[in-house]
Amino acid sequence: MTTMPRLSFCIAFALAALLGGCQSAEVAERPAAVRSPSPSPAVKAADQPQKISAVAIVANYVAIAQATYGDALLTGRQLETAVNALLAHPSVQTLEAARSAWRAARIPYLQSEVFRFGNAVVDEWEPRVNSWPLDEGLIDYVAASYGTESDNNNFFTANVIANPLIDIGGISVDAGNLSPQFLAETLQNIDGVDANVATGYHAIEFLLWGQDLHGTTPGAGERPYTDYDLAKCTHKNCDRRRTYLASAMHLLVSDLEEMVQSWQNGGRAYGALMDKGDNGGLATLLAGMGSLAYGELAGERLRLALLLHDPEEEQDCFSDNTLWSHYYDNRGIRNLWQGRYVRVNGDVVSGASLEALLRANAPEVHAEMNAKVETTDLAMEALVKQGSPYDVLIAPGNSVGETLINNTVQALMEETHSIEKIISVLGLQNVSIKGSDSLTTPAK
Amino acid sequence: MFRHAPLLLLTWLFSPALLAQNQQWKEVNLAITDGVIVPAYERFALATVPLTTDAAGFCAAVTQDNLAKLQQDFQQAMDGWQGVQHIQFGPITYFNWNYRLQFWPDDNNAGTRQMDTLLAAADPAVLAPAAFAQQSVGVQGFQALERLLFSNDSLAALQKTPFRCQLVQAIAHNLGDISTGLAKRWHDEFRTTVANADQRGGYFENSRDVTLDYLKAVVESVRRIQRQKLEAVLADSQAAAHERKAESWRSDRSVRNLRVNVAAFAALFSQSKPALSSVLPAADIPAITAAFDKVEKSLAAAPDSMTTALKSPQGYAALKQSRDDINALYEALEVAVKHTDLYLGFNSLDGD
Repeated sequence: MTTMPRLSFCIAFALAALLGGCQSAEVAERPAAVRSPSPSPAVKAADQPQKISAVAIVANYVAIAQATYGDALLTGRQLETAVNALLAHPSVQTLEAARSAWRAARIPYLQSEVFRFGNAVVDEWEPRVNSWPLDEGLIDYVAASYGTESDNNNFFTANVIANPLIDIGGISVDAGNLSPQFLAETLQNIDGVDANVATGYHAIEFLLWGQDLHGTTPGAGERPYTDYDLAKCTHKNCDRRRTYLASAMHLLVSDLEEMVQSWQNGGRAYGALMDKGDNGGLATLLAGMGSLAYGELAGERLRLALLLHDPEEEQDCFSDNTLWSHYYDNRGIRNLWQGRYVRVNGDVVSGASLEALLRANAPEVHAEMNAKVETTDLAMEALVKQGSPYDVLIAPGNSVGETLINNTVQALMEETHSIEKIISVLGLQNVSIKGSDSLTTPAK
Repeated sequence: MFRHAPLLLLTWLFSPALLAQNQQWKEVNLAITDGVIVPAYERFALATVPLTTDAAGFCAAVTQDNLAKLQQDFQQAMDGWQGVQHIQFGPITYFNWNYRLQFWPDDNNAGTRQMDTLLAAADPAVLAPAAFAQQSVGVQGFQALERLLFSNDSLAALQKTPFRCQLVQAIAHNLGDISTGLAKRWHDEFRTTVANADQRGGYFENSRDVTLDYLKAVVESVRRIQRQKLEAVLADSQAAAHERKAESWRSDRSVRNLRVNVAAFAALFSQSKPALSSVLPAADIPAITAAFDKVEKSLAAAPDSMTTALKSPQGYAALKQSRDDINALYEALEVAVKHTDLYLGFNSLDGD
C-alpha cells in the first residue's frame, strides 16, 4: 500500500506519450461520434474542437439538466401511479410493482445528482428528495436491534405513524394529520437533526420495503403488503401509514416539478447558473463532477460503509438497490464529461462537451481523464455484476467485496485528481461559484 | 499541435526556474516534517503509552481509582491525537488508521449500533489484535473508548461485564499500536518519501504537492473545526444547541480539543524555518497571524466546559465568538491562497 502511487503522474504521462508510441494521441483523436450512436448537429461541432466554447458547453449542460430532471419527474409520476394502485388494491403484486417503479425512478434521479454540487439552488432543494441516512424509527415501527437512543437524535424512535401526539425533549408535536404540509414543514429535520428524514425517495423506500433485518447477509426489507391493507392490517395503524405514504409521494412529485421548472429559462437554477458567466458555468460543471466523485461517492457512499461494516450506512439500505445508485451516480459524472445523456425513452441529448474542449486544448489531460473515466466505469460494472448486494460486500471479512469497493474508491479518487488537473489547465481554480463556497470549499 | 505538447511540457518541467522553485518547496517540506510533524507524531505515541499500560492491568482491579486513572490517561492520549488530527495524508491513510483511531462525527449513530452489536455478541475472539483491527471502525477508537470510560454508569457496567472491560483493553492496545506505528512510519519512511517527492513513481508527484498537502492540512482543517466542532453544536440559537454533537462531550474536553487543534495549525503554519507561511504572499501574512492570535485568545477566554457554556447565554456567546473568529481565520487564509496559483482541490468536506 505504501508503495502505491497516490496520484497519476503528469511527468510519467508526458514521457510515456513521448517515448511509447503515442497511444495517448490515438485516444485523444477518437472522435466523439464514435461514442454517440445518433450524433446531433452539436456533436458535429465537436469534430471541429477548436470551435468548442465554454458557452456551448454550458448550454449543453443545461440541456442535459433539463432532460435528466424531466425524466426524474416522468418516472416519479409513474411511481405515484404505482403507489396509488398499491393503496387502492393492496396485494403482493401491487407492492412489487410499486417497488419496481421506485427502482426505475432512481435511474434518472441519480444521474441528476451531479448537478447538485456547485448549484446552490439544487443543493438547498436536495434534502427534501434524497436525504439519507435516515433514522427510520422517526416514521414507523422498527425492530429492537435498531436501538433505543442516539447521541444526535431525540426523535430516534418517535414513530409518528403510531403516535399522533409526540412530546420529546421539550418539543410537542401534533401529528394527528400526516399531511404533505406536516411532513415537509414540521417533521422533516425536526429538532434540527438531518437524520430526521420525513420525505423523499428514502422515506418512500422505507415505506415500501421496511427495515432490512438481514444485516450483512443476503436479503432486503420484507414489509408485507398488509401493512397497507385496512381489512387485514399488520403492524397496526395501516390507515395512518397509508396517509403517510400518499403524502410523501405527493411531495416527491411536487418537489420534482419544482426542480424541472427551476432549470427552464427564467427558472431559479437556470438564472443562478447564467449569472455566473461562461467560466463560472464551466467551474460549476467541474465542481459537480469532482464533489460527487470524491467526497460524496468515494467517501460517504462507498468507503465509509465499508469501514463501518454497517448496513445502515448504505444509501438504499431498505431495498438493497445501493449498487445501482452508485452506478448511476457515476453515469451522471460521465454524462457531463461526454456532454451526452441517454433519456429513459432512449433519445440522446448531446452537444458541446468538456471532453471535446480538452481534446482540442490539452490532449494529455484529455487522454488521462478518458482513461480514468474508463477505469471507474469498469470498476462500477464489476461491482454491479458480481451478484451480491452492497450490504453483503461490506461484511467484515468479505475480502472480495472489500477489493471491489476499494478498487472503485481508488478509481474515483484518481478521476477526481484528473478533474482537478482540468480545473487547473482551464484556469478555473479561482472562479467563485455564486451562492456557494469556492471550488476549494464546496458547500457542506 | 498537440503531438508536440509533451515535449513542450518536458522542456518546461526541467527549466532552471522550476528546478529552483522545486528546491524551495522541498526545503519548506523538510523543515515542517522534521521540525513539526515528526515530533508531533512522536508526542502522540508517547502520550498513548500510559493508557495502554494502565489498561492492560485494569480488568484485574476495576475500581473507581483505576477508572479515574484510565480517564486521565485517555485525556493525555487524546491531547496527542488532537495535535495531529489535521494531517490527512501519509501514514495516517495506511490500514484505515485514521478512521480506526477516531470515527467522528457519527451522524447516523453507527458507532453506538456497532458497539451494541459487539457487546451483545460478547465474543472474546474478536478482541485479539488482528481480529479487532478488522472490526467496524465504530468500535475501535477514541469515540468507543470514551463511551466505555465516561458514561454515567461506566464503573458499574465495567464491573458487571468482564467483556466490556476486555473491550477497553483491546481499544487501548489498538490506539497504542496505531500511534506507535504512525510515529515509526513517519520517522523511518515517510520523511524520506517527502524528501524524495520529486522522484518519479512515488507517493507524491513532486515537492509542490507535499507543500499543497500541508497547506490543505491547515486551511481545510480550520474549516472543518468551524463546521463540525462548533457550528453543528451551536445551531441557530442557544435553545437549539446540540450538546451531544460536540466532539468529546462525554469526557467534557470539546473546548480543549479546539485549543490543541488551533495550536497545532499555528505550529504547522509558522513554526518551521522556512515556514509554510513562506509559500503565501508576504503581504497577506500579517492578517493571517492576527487572525490566529484572535482565535487563540477567544478560545482561551471560552469556558473550559462546552457543556456548561451551552447552558448560559454568556457561554453560548463566547463559543459563537470563537466560531466567528475561526471563520475569519479561514477567510484570511483563503484570500492569501487566492493570491497564488495554488489550487487545494476537492476535499473530504465535499458532499454530505
